[in-house]
Amino acid sequence: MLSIKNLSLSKKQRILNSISLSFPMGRITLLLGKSGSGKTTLLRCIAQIEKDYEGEISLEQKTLRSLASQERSQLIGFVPQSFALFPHMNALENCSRPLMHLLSQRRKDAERAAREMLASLEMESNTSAYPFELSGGQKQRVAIARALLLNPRFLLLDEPTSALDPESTERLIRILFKLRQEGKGVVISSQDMPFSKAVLDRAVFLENGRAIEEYESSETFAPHSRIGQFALWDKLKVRVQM
Amino acid sequence: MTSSFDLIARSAPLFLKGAAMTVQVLLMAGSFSFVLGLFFGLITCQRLYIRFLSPLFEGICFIARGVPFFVQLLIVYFVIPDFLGCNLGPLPASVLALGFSSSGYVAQFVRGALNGLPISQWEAAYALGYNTRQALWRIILPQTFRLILPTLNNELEALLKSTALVSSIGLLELTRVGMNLVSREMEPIPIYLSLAFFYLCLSAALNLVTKKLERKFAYVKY
Repeated sequence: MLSIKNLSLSKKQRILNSISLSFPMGRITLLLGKSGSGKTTLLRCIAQIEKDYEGEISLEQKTLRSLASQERSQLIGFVPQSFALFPHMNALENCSRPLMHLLSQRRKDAERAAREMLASLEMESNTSAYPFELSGGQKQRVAIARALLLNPRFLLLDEPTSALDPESTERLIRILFKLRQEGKGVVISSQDMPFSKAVLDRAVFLENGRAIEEYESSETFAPHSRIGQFALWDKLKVRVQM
Repeated sequence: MTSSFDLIARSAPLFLKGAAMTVQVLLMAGSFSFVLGLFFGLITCQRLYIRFLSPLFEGICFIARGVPFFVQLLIVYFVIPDFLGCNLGPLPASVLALGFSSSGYVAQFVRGALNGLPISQWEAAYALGYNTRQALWRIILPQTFRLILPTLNNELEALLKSTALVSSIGLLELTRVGMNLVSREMEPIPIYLSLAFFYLCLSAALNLVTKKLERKFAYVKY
């Protein structure tokens, strides 16, 4: 269980405001909310990219802030919105080099593990491609493979569908269900309601840096609730675009 | 005409000896400049900025860039040994002065490239579990090196041309050899033209090496 207690973060203004949440293992939790509501910042705090927060984030009674960076990366994997692949390494090196650098694996073992992981994400034919040669969906799968190779308990994904076509989104959904089956916890920030509805086990609605509503997948969104209005707004937006 | 060719042929071994010294000075000063410039660039970039210490190094870089190389050479060869009460030969003085002077520019290239790298590269490294030192050596500097290669090529060529000035403190490099030959043979035209030809050859060789390196590392695209 990933627990957050009284998490607050201020920069020039308050970004996160006393958030207390828990994310269970083996479930997919969606962070929903409009732009600027604090979804990405919350993920960045969990991934310890933002460290100047107040409050506590812990996983299995271990406070993440006090862990060494290598130990932390084996608990939490993070896939940023831009994927942030290393441009001087090809897909295979992007995945295998962290194993060599951080876990001191031999090149042969690291590359074999990376090849297997990339193959499981249907990327076996692109192992020697550099990031600029890959599509958005392919980059994302490399970024997911890179994070999963360190075998984290939780995977965090920031706006994963923002650069994906429908086919890649479907492939991503299959990957997420597989991770859930393996018992990993997944936390996703998204504004994409159709995608969110397809994958969520739980949803948390954020507004102005506060977690204001929480839902289980079995519940239906009440039309007067904030999340219900958000879903409706998204549906309308899709209609307008059509 | 025949006598000019004769003179060049007779002088070729001396020119080659001078060229070897020029290459030696270039390699030593280039390495010194790269290491010092890398250090200055790292310590003055936004991400690794250290209060009070970084401005100090920025000041040193400003001196390296702001004082003409020839003046720096004279200071290193005549003033500093006088202060320290020691002797500094022409070769170490040339390497120190050339390296220091060039490091101010290399620092700017490194600092600019580091500041220009997407911040997501640092963050991705941190999220994967790299600490700052590992992120720097394994992820950030390899990208920085690729980005500054074309400007380093320019700087090396400038350094090659600056080596001609160290002839003034008596180092027997290419230009000094040419000047000595002119004093002895009293034939400035063929000798100076040969000198120019040797510098062009060195410059072309340098260009070839750096272009090959650029092609090899040309795949950093964001």
